[in-house]
Amino acid sequence: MPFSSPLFIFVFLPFVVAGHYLVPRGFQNAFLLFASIVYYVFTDIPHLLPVICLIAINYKFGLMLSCQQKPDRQRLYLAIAVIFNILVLVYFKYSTFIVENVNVVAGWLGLSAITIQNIGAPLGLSFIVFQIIAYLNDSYNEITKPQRNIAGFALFVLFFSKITAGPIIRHSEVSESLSSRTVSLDDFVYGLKRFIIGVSKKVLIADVLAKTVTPFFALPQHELAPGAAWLAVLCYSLQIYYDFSGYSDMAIGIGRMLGFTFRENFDNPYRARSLTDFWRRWHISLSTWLRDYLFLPLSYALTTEGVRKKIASGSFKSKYVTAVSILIVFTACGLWHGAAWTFVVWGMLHGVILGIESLWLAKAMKSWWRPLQHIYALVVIMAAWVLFRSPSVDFAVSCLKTMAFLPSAPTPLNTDISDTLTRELLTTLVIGIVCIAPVRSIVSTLEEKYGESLPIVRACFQPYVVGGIACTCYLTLLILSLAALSSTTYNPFLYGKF
Amino acid sequence: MDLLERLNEVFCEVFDDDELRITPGMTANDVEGWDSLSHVNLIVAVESRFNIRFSRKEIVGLKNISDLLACIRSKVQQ
Repeated sequence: MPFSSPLFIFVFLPFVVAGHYLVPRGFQNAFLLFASIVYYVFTDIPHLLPVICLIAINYKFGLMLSCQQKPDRQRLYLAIAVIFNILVLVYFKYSTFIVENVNVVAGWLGLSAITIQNIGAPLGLSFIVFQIIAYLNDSYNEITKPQRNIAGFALFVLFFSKITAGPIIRHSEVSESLSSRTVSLDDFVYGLKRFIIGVSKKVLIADVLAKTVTPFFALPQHELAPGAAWLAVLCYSLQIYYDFSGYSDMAIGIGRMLGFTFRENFDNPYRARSLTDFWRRWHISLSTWLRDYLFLPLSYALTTEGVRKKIASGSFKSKYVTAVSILIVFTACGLWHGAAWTFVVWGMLHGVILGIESLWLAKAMKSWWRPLQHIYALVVIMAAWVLFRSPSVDFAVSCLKTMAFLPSAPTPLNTDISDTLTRELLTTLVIGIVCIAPVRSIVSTLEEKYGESLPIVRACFQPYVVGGIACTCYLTLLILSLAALSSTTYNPFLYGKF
Repeated sequence: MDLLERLNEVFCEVFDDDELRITPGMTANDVEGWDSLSHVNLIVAVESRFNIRFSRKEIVGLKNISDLLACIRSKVQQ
């Protein structure tokens, strides 16, 4: 049941929100847990039981970690718990990929192939496992107290608002809200507004752009032409942002309507000035997870006594260690996104560029002309998205060659894209690009500069006028989104398969 | 040379800025270039300079420079 579906918007969500406020306070968590189970049943019933088992086992792990006083034992329990969760993820998500690659090697060696039944991954497993690993580590490091209430813990993991595609929430952010929460009218209205924005981003922008992107990436490699390639990659860059940030807005909005405050997951990522800056703005709950639970521990682990001696003697710098660590972390990040070589190579590419930035480029870029920094960042990000979206690494390489106007096909093709550039696409592209611009700061600069001198500008910025305009906008967006939803069944939710 | 001055020297080296002057209340937000990448370099440099080791729990618990100073002080005095 995707968020942007009539069933969710007209039936499930109103019922859950109303029910949450009608049931007695002591039953609110149980009600939300029940609603989350219903949501899971609607979306992925075959995997409900394995996920419930996973929750029960990790609830026990959390309690065991807190009871254990001896540090060595504690560390051992943490290691066992983390490895267990990783193995669960590997089993459900990567078995098929591993077996496929083992069979390729077996083929080279003349051995017979292994067959394996196709194991589908439970809904949101990648997010669930990462969230649980964060919880176990935070309990161990005493950043958060373990959740003693099993319904509370189950809700923390299964909460329907963030189950499909995050944000990856930390227990410390929601532990207070889990025990008691009050929702002001302001909070509720804020949540509703975020939800409307999220639906609009998904339905009015992302889904429209998808209609150009999907056919292009389904083309045979020899039919790729530069104009079409650039258009498709531009559309995809916007599509993935609006799709995923729209989903995050919906998740955050629903959470807020029900009394939970999740951290922001996006911060205008396409305004980044480097790839390092991009990762502070894109999928923030993931990049902070990678930093806290993979990058930092790995970096310290790689800084062995031998390495420290070399650093002390001046023959080695600790930033070489962090550069290697970054490469490993982002390769893992790529793999986390999907069990395919395109994702692994995407991650490695990010890792290599981030490593180069950390060693030298970031410092050199500080003196660059600022627009050039932005262009560099966008070119790198968009080129990497080609890998992320392509059906194979070969296709991605052909596409990148085509975009660089290098011949990748025997006969150059007609680059006429005027048929693809429909009015709908052009409008959506323009809106998509404009909304990435710093609209709010431009508006407040206008207000500062002209508010005093021009009465009409001052009038427009009066609170009731602003409120009225905003309300009309939200209503319009909601109506347009619902109209678009009811007129089409095309609902490609990109991050849903992670 | 007191602890703060010695720590300041380490900061100057790690962040390549001889003008840098740290104060106990400062956090990562107050020092340009202090992100998770340079944080590792900083911790390793501090450990090397003062000949101490921080545990994972201790590193995670460091919120600002006065926390770092207190942690160094407790280990150096041992």
